[in-house]
Amino acid sequence: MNAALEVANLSVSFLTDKGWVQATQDVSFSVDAGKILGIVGESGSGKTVSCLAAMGLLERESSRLAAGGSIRLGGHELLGLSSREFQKVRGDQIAMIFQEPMTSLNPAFTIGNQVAEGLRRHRGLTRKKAQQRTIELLEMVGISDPKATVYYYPHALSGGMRQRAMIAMALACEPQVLVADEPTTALDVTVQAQILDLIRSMRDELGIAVVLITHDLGVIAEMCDEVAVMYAGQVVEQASVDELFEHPSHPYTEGLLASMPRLGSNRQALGVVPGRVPAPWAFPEGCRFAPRCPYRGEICSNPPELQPIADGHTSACNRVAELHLEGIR
Amino acid sequence: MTNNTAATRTTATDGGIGNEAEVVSPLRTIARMVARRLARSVVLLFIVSIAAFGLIWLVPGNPASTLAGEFPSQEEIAAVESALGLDAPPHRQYIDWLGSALTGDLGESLRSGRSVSSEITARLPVTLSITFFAVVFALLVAVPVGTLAAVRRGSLSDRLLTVGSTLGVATPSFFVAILLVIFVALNSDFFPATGYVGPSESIYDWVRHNTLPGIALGLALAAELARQIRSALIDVLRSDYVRTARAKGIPERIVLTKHAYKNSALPVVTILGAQIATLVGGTVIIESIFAMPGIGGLAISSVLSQDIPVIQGIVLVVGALVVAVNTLVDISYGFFDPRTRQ
Ligand SMILES: Nc1ncnc2c1ncn2[C@@H]1O[C@H](COP(=O)(O)OP(=O)(O)OP(=O)(O)O)[C@@H](O)[C@H]1O
Ligand SMILES: [Mg+2]
Repeated sequence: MNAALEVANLSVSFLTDKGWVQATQDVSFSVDAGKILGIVGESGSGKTVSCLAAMGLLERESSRLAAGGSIRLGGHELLGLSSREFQKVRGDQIAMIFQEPMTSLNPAFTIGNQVAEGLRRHRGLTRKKAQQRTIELLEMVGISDPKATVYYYPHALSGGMRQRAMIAMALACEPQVLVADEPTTALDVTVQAQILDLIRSMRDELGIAVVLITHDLGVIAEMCDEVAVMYAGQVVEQASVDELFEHPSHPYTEGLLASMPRLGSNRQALGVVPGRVPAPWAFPEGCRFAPRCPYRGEICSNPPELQPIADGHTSACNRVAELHLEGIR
Repeated sequence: MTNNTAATRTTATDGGIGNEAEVVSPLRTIARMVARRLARSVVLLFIVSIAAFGLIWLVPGNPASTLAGEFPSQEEIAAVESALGLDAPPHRQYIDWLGSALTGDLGESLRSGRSVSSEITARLPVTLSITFFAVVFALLVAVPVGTLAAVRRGSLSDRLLTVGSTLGVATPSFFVAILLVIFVALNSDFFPATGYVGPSESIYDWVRHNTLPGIALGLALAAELARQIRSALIDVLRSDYVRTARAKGIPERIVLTKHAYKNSALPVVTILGAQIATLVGGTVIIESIFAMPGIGGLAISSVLSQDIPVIQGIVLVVGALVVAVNTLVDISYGFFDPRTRQ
């Protein structure tokens, strides 16, 4: 069976003051229907860029995708589609929600108008039918007074409510894949849990595939089936959640796990990976994590490749065979 | 997806709909907003009327002595003063003046003896026409040019706009007017160099007579608006909600005309509102170049002859117009940005 979304070898470059700069290199991941794939990594590791690329949302003038990449949605290749054909898929079969619910809705149009817009475009629904469906969708995402809410402008809703409206908008055309880019980062802690609950139950009920971007391994542990760990524009490790937490196979993953707050531990005592993600024009030769890696050796000046190390588990560490990295249970 | 999924959902507890009172009924909020803006414009009009009336004390000389003929005696002046009501205390004079102004009676011209309101209503359409054509011309130019520059920012057309708009803003309208007369009007039968025809006589001739004056008056505004539209659009096109619209698969043309334009309109109408007084002021010189019988000519001649009632009438009417336009601009904010409706 085809994966719902299968992204392979996406290398994105941007035109910057420093010329063309490669932000991601050979990013590959896939997610099956009914599953949640987590993408985790520090700020600047290329999570958003990869997903925008998969959505065909990168600006054409200032960015480009290297040849050899592939974006397959339900087995159909999206790369090479004209922008008009990509438009028909986007918002219909693959949808995306964003980090900032406060700014992601258009302040000048009602919630109803914005949710119905995709329905009318992709499904050709009449105004009335689209409105009916919008009310159902708002109810489905847990908005308490959907009949009134369709007439509200975004400023009248709280952040959590706006993110619910965004989810309703994304799910309007029953997509196969939902990409959620840090959907809870901007929200209060209690609201975060509700939004995550909502995403999970949408997955359960609708059987959609979800790509969930987050900084937070706690969210990964709770929500996801599979994880891809990204660092400096590359996927450095990929595994099922249990496998990754128990047997991390990349020093960066170990570092992330060590910095995870846990019950009974106090925050000060947390290990953090020292240093930060380099900017794309300053990516080191060889292993990009090496300068921050406690286990680096001579071999690390060679660029590592993402290699299978166990069933469904890949790692891009030159020394993976020698290391005994510590996971958590 | 089926629609029986709602029952199982945890309903939200995160504060939900913001401030309930604010969102009772869209219609009522709009009505309230309009009422508030109208109330404010009444206050403004009041201030305008005081300013117009107060002009008496700013103008050197005494209208009564002007009117009483050459070398009048003290008694003759006093007689004229009492005939004009100028011997009453100032607040009395103001109330009387305002009272008649509200009924459309702005007094009589000291010079011609004709009623000020009829002098003004005869000439107002000319000034309004020129201003109207200027605004229409400015929008017709600025919207496509500003949009093109924003969508293709950094391109040749964008840089041309920057240069062109700097030139356009810096070129005095009388200079544009003279160029238009010399190079267009004198070479074409379609655009006459002088005169005015009202729309009630012939729409066709109205357009012919007002196009060149409108262009001359509107060019600087067009340049200013194009610049403004460009920068507003560039900001909006980078915004998160435009990305959301694109993520929904909305075609770029609709992203632009629906999602981006409505949000870029605020700075544009603001400029229009702020420029309307300048525009009306600019008609004075345009009228005289194109020999059109507008308010500007009347203003100049009445100032030169110290025809106080006419000056007062003009200040009042033009001031009221500017207030009216700005009130419309204010109300349009509520349309373009629902957050301002409160
Ligand atoms: N439009 C762009 N032009 C130039 N560089 C860009 C652009 N968008 C992203 N980048 C660069 O690509 C790199 C990856 O950015 P990306 O937004 O994907 O990171 P991220 O993993 O999503 O981080 P965060 O957790 O902060 O959201 C960053 O170094 C960023 O500076
Ligand atoms: Mg991001």
